[in-house]
Amino acid sequence: MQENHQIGHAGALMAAPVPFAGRSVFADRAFKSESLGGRGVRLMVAVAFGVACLFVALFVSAQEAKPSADPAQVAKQLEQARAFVARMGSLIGGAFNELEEARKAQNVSRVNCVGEAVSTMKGLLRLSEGNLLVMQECVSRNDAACTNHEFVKISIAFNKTEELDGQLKGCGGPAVDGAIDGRPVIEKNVGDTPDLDPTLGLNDMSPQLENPPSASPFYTFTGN
Amino acid sequence: MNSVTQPDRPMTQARPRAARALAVSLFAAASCFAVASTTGASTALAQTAEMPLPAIVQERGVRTGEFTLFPAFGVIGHHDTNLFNGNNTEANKPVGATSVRFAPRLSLSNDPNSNVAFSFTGSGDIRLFLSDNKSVGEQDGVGGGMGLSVTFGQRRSFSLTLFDTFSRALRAPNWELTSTLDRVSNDVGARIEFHPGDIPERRPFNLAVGASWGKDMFDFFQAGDTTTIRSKLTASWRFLPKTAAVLDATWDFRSYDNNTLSLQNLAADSQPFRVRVGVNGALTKRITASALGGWGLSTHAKGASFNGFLASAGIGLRASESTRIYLGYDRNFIDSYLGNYATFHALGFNLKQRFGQVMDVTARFGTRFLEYGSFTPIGGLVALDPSCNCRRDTGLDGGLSANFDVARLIGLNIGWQMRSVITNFKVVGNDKKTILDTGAFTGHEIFASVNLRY
Repeated sequence: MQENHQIGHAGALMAAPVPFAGRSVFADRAFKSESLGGRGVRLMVAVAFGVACLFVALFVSAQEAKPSADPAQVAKQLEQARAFVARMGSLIGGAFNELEEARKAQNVSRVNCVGEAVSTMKGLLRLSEGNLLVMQECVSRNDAACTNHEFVKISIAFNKTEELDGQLKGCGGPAVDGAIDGRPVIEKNVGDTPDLDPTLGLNDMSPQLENPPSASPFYTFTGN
Repeated sequence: MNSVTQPDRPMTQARPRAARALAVSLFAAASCFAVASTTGASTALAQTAEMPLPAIVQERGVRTGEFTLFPAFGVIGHHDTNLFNGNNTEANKPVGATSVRFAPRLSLSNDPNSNVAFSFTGSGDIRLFLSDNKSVGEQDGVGGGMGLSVTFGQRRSFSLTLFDTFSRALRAPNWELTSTLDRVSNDVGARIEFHPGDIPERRPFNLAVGASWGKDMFDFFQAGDTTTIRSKLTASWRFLPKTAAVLDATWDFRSYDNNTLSLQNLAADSQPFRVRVGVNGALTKRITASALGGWGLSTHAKGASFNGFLASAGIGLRASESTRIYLGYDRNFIDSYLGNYATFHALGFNLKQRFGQVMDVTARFGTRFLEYGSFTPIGGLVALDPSCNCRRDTGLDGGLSANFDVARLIGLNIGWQMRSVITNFKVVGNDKKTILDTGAFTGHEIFASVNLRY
């Protein structure tokens, strides 16, 4: 009784207590009803998870989808990349000249400084040449993403090479080849270009002091 | 030097690169072979491609922090066959004179491309004549020059340059006298430049406005003392890296400190104005050329004034890495103490040849055809061409100079130069027949120097 009461008390809010094998029928129903609610939640969670996965998959799919290649853009990038690589080659050529001059001048610190920059520039050029080949392959596949990826790598290498070129011009102190603020100063022309400043002397304001001409009567003023 | 057809040129200012080259390579030439371009005073632009300094010279200079110092000292032996520009057909006979000259020189400059560019060049010219002739002995003197320039904002779009140019020029008179035509001149001024662009090599445009105040005073010829305010406007556009279109306009205000010459109808105050436009620079890698044309007005307050065209043209050839040739023509006018002004046509030729990286030989020849402004003869003492009542001169100048760089610190210089004037102008006596001064003369100078440069 105490037990029923206890049970009845437990299920008082649901139904009247029915003795059955020591358990109330209403208590079993309540148990069944509780089990059905948990499964719904789980189902809903599963559905929500599935939907979320679907969205994520869609997003991922959207990210990985290959965009349609613009032939003009790709060609432009390829042309630009070739120009970058060619320019890097010419910068390295100039850097070698700098290195040679530094060696001739027997300026050890300058040789070391320029040599380090040249080594890095050489590595960057080698990488960029490889990237350019890959980029050409990407273009042949009409793969815009791959093309763009290689182009970015070549661009970064080019910018770094230009930076190194500026640095090596400052090697050996600001008074040698670079201005104090780091910007390069061209003092020497390489090759056959004439060393000529077409405006040299234009601003000169030195007076032209004419002399008394010969056979002038000025000697009469001198008192001798 | 003592050339009659060429003006004295004080030390130029604000050209560190040129100053350095002068200091290290052409020191002797500057002190002893210093006659300017044979094409006249107005051709101030670069003429031919620069010849790189010999390897032995390039390492000169003393670095002191940001500044580089170029000290030098020269001892010169000099002989002039006609110190007073005399002639055997007149009372003023040619007088030869030998002198020893000492020429210290000091240049100091920092990086010309730094934001504040400083340049100083000073030189001395001490002359001791070895002669018993009193007139010759009185030509002893101490001369020299100084150029100072400071530019603020050299690497900015606007820059301001303050400069001062001083010279003490030594010159014998045109008659055997104990007096001299030594003079002192000083110009102080400022220039503002506008040149957009970050570094000098990327500045195609340049606009400059400058003004200076100058004083010119003779020791004995006080009648020629002047005060001049100079103004200058220049513009350049480098439409190619080595070729530029240029505009050059000057307007001076010159007044004599006393009216002695004006009262003699010889020279009056003036406001000479010149404007020229043209192109200058490289035509090809080996050929340079310049062509400028314009107009000039001498604007004298009294007497004759010049009003006519100005022109200059030249062509330079870099025949090889060791050879430079220049041929030029110039038409301009100069102020004159006789007839207010003289207009001239000038032809000039220069050749510079380097031998074996140790010797530079420079040859030059120039001629000028001058016509002075018409004026009324004073006291009947002068004879003029009646067709124009003017004086006409033909001047010849030439020279040959060799500079040896014996070692890093020592150089030798040897040379010869000549000067000559042919003129229709004569000074006659009261009888109108006796020639007191024929005007024409010829003189030769030889010189040799030893130069120590660090």
